[in-house]
Amino acid sequence: MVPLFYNTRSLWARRLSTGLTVVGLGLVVFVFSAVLMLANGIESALASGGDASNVVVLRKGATSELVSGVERDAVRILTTDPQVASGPDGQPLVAGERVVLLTLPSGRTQAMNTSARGISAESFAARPEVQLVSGRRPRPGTNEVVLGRSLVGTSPEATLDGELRFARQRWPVVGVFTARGGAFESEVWADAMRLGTAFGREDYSSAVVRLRSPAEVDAFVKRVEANPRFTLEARPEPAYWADQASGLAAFIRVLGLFVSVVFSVGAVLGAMITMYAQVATRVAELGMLRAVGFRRRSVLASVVVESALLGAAGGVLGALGALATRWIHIRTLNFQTFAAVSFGFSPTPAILLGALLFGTGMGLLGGLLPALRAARLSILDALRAS
Amino acid sequence: MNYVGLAGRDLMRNPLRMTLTVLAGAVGVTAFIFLSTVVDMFYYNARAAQVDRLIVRNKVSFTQPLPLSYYARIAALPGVTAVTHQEWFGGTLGDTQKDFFANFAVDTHTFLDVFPEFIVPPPQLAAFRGDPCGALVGERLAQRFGWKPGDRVTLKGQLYPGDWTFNVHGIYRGARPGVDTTALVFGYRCLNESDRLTEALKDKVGIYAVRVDDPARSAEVAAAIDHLFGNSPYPTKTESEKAFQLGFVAMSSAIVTAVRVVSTVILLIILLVIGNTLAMGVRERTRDIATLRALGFRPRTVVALVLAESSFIGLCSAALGVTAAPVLVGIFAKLIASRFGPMPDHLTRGHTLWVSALAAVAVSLLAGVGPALRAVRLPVAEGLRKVA
Repeated sequence: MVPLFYNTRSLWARRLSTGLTVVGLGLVVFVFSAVLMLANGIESALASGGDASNVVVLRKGATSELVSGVERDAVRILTTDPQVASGPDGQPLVAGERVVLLTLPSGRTQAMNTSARGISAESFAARPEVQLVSGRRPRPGTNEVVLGRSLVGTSPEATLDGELRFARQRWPVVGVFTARGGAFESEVWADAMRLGTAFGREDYSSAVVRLRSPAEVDAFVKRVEANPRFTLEARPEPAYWADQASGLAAFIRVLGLFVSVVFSVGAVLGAMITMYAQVATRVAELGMLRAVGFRRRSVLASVVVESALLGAAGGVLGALGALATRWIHIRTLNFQTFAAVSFGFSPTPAILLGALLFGTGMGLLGGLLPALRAARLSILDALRAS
Repeated sequence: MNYVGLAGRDLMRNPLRMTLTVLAGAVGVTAFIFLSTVVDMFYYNARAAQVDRLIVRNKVSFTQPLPLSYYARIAALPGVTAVTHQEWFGGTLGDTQKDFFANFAVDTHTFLDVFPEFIVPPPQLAAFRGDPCGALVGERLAQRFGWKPGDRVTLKGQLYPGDWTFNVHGIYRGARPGVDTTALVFGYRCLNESDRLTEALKDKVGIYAVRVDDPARSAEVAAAIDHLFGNSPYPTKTESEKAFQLGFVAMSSAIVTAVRVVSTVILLIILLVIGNTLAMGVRERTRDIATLRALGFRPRTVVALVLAESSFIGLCSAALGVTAAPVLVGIFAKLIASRFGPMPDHLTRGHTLWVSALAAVAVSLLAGVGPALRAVRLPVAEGLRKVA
């Protein structure tokens, strides 16, 4: 085998073209991993908006809370199910909720659609992941609202002690909550009755039901669907939220992978150009290697390894660049819910490893043909070339 | 040998490398056009908007309804030539949103007065108007599901529970390219007169679309409409159709920005690849260039030769990219069609193609500048001595 030292030295000897190639490969890897991280960010933002013990009950056939309707009587019937968990006060943890869209004025864009969730007494208890970070809970029967953390500052009055105005009423902000980065953090929570009156809606949009344990979820879902007293369907809360994210995540993923594939073709071509040039300018050197006894396959391996090194360097560069996007937060319209959702780039070890492999793979692919050419050189011709 | 011949020789000095460079450039151009088209998709509805149309929606949000009684009051305002209303139905073909397409309840009699770009043969229109549950289907949507006049289509309501069956009476097409022919519209009466509707939902519409006699007065008419309902339980927000559509784009601005950033990165990559190749070529030819200079060629001639080479590479890349990009856009549109509905034809605009081609040539010229300057800055004697 040709020592690795030889390859690193020769890459260094041609710093400029090596650097340009690495930067090009790095940009491709950057786009590849940033896109995966973004799609992952949306999915985890929306999918973590759910607890494994919780079930969302919607009208049969409704794909989101916004278009669903659940009658009050139905919510009452749901509380009688034996597997429903009880809160600290002994009440069954079933909360009828009402979801509407608001248009809040926003700084950067003129207006932003925001989901407002009308909550019942049990809503907080049914969702242990929702925790107040400041202020207090809204008092039932008042216009007081609490804001999800990612809404703070997105609209002029969207701060603790601010006052939102919508539906011709004033809604003082009394608290801010987190929800483990989930979709609730992009919502305004208000009293269900007050919100219902302001928006002229009597029914609930959905009911959230907390069961005694996640193991009960499947059986409960079946019981709801079999119950002839209403036409409702239940879905595990995490599944419901994952589904709300699927459209936007699919869009970003398809778009990103499309771009990555197209890009990677370009980057492989770039690596190929570099490696062909490396081989062409080193014909004499390669001939010398052969003359001192290195086998054809060693020369082949040497060039391929050199190219893979280029790719790996690009992979590291791109992955580091993508990691830097962690501090960027994105707020955009979810086409499925018509409401804004905010999320970040969330890296996983799998994505980073994928980025490194992707970079190295592109290098390998780009080096293959030039390596074949290098291996095929005849010793005599190569030595004469100088 | 003339200059063209000389530049040609330089290009063909390493045909493999030139081919690879052109291909890499073409890939970049393709990706650039593709992403520009994706950005265009967001603006598609706003571009198709008419200047003389206003959209009236509930001030709280566009999902809140407006009363049907506003119809006559808006129609009576000075400057208003036609009014129609629409209600987003949001029905799906199956139990899931897998076969998504837009469907609206419209006022059969006034719909085409406000949206004259939808063309329906008169007998089909008459049949549509005569049947409360009649429906018109856009050309592309009809192609997608093989619907024709006389078919019955059953949608599962989301906002309105249950199965709703509509009779397809006609296929509409667009008066000009760019009109959305991927929607289904049906008679509002079918919805409103159904006994499945609760009292609270009766006589409610989603939005009003208003046509004004003079586009210059749209702002005035919009203000008049909002003033009329300012103190009612359903205050309105009226804006031009374009502003209404741009509102949605603004809410997606983060994605649009991200796509734009990636497009810029692509241009950078093309710049790197072409620049890198040219630099290699020039480096290899240091002795040739020094010889030219020693023979008395002016530096600017040498620069021009290198730039000619790079602009040729740029042109070839642009030509290839412009050919390949629309194919890619077509595949992408098919892939996302199941979630976002079918995309209109001719998504890639001629304008985008021109701009991308120009950008490719500009970028490759830029990439050529560095190596060209290097070539002429080197002292002739040193260049002649240099072993590449």
